[in-house]
Amino acid sequence: MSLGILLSAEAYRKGRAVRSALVRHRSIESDPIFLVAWQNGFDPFSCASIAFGQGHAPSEVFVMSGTRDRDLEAREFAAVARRFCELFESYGAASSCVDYQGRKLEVPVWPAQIVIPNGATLRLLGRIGRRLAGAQHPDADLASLLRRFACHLLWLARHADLPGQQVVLSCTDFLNAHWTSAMSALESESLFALEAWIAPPSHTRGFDAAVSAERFSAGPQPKPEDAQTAARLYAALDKAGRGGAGSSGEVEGALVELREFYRGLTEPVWTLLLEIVRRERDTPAAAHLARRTERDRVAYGLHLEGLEREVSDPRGIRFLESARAAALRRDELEREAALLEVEEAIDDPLKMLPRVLSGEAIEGEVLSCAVNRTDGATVVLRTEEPCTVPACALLWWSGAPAGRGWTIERIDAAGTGSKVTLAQPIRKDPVGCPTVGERAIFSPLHFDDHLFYGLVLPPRAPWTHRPAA
Amino acid sequence: MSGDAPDARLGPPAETDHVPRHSLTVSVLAAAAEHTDCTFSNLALAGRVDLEKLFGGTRYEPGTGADPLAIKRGRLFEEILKKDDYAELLNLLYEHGVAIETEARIARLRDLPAPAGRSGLEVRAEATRLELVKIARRAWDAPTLIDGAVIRARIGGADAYFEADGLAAASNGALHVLEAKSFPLIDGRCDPIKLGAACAQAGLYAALVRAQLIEDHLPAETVSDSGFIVLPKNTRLGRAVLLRQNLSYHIRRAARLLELAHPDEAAVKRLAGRSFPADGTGAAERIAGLSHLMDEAGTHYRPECLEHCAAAKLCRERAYKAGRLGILGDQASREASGVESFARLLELAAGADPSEHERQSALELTRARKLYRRALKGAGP
Ligand code: SF4
Repeated sequence: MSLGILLSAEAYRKGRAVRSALVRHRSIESDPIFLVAWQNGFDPFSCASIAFGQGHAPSEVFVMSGTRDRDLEAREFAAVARRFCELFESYGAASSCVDYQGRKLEVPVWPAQIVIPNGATLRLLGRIGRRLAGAQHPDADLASLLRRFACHLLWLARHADLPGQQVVLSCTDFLNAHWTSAMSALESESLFALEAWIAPPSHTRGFDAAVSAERFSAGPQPKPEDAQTAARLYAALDKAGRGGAGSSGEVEGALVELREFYRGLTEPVWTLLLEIVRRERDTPAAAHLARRTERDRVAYGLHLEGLEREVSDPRGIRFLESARAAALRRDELEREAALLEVEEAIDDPLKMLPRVLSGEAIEGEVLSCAVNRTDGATVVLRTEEPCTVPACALLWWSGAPAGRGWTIERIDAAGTGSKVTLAQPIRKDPVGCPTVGERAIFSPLHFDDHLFYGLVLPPRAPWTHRPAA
Repeated sequence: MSGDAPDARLGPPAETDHVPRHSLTVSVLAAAAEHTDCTFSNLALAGRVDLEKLFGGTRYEPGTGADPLAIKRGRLFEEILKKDDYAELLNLLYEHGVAIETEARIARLRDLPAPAGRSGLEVRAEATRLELVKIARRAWDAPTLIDGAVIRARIGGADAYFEADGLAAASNGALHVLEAKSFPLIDGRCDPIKLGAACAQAGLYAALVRAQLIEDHLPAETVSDSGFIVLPKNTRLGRAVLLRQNLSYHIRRAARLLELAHPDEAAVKRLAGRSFPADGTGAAERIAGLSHLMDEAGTHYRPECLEHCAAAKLCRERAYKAGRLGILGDQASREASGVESFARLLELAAGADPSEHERQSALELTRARKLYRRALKGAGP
């Protein structure tokens, strides 16, 4: 049984969401970029509207006319691209140098961060990036600007796959990892409904608040009624555009209406994002955030370093990976996921709980702790429930996950639970032992060396066959 | 061809009820396939009751409706496919090993002189049937593609007509279902959820055509298990790509749905005399009537209902008020096996005596609660 069901039942009883994490497992930077985007139902690789900016300033709402004229479309995207690149690259303006693989790398002083409503928005950004990556235009500067924008979007979409990354903060993912409501996973994808469970208006139960909040969408797909309005406004714009040379006033009027419409859709989402960030920032940060922030800074530094080369590469941006690159990427994702799991569990007893519940870890009171230079260290733990981890298993104390492991030497019945004796071989350094009387957790989670060192592969694929040219 | 009106009343047929009805489409059937375990929904399907209309104007209004711009995209893609007598599509089929005669014959059933509305569908359905017979018998003039096929099926005791926007391609007496969708395939990848839904629709067409062939004493295997999903290639709509898909699972599932889409005899008997509320009654009265019918027929709410059923908002509220664990999804119900409600789950976690089938869950719950409380205490100031 997962802890989640119990927490959902608690949420049901209380009528509001309950915390499923005691600390904040993602950093929230001091001045992140907020971004809200709306999809164009006609073209999944374009957007109808996009708004972004830093929280302290009101957002600029860009609206695309949905034109089939490629030149005009490129100019519309260029306006968005110019502003976005300026904002996103501004993080690199103040930089410091770090050692990276035996050389110096410039990394931003303030880590870049983009706050978006949900994973669907991220996927839309990835699609726009994919579309613009191949942008061709007779105006070389404009084509290069669009490719630059595409590089940023594609990098964001790729980096966001990395477990625990904090450059892209998808609010639904963030809230679902820190709160539990009595909603299904499907409903929890609605940012408005989720927030209604977390902070329902007074005297209103989360369920009722969420039902009423569901009438809003946080994008990129508008609600069906709004999609109808959007279609009507686009049709009006289309009609005005067909009016010929004398219809520029009508076109402008139709565009104004469209802009107002998307501003109306964007504003509640923008306010919600600000509110979520303001509240969640107050939760104490987890201890291991610093490592991940550092990793993000290096990744951003590498991205900016390679940007010019990628933008000007005549072969364009490549999407298909070689077998080697795919294997390395898979290794990186798996190592990061494992590392994140350890870090979160070490930082937060609620994240460690599933391991205890599944019987892989033990939790109890330390009855004795003896450190001896010749015999090694021994800890006796008294658990309230019978220990289900077998003798001889190797576990790590959550207080020293980077240290050496402890082997279960004996398990004796003690009341309703067990008395577990754990031992560590001869050790010179007594650091890393729990103290008598404290509650301690021993689990298989630890910082294994392999988590920090990537796969090493020969530069050329070792197999003899080659794909046909 | 019989065209008897479907019976929206659950008892004996009534000529003049004012229950709103709609015609069955493949997407309605595909949606119904997602909850064949719900008696209420099966009854509504068999009676062709338009639940969307019944919930209209109430606070449970489903808020559905396709994005008109997405529909426009779909139409444009279809037009592109039809260009030059389906030249690109025929080429792609050839590349996929579907034998195409040098002179492909396209049966254009949309161009048939037929009256609008239901009788037009009847004409096209008959024409479709004849073309299918030619394919099954490997006639020299069998079509390569059927454009605008309409398949007739008996659902809930009445005839229903399904307009296939999917096309049928024939090769050597085998018939492959083709389903055109406008979501793209890029870098060899496409949206897996949309692809799954497209396969489910194609599976339904295949099952309907098979049923039609059986009715005509022709071999059902004429319809191949392998169908094609036609998608735009890359970000623009200009070029198409074919994905060959094994539809056997979807065909089996669809065949089962077609069986289920007949009123459940036992339920009809049990509910004799009851009926769905009539159109035009007040919102509160309609909701009360529907709730009452749900109580009597039985429902099986799951979160997925929100994506497929017009009654979902009402069912969700009823399930929430009853404190059913099922509102979290099937996995939660499976994990807390033997426990039906949040209230009981909390009682068991607090140490209430479990029944025999609750015992295992109770053990885990008490332990989880103890550990949770301890973790919170440990984190306290
Ligand atoms: S929403 Fe209700 S009526 Fe519809 S399928 Fe689900 S349980 Fe049945």
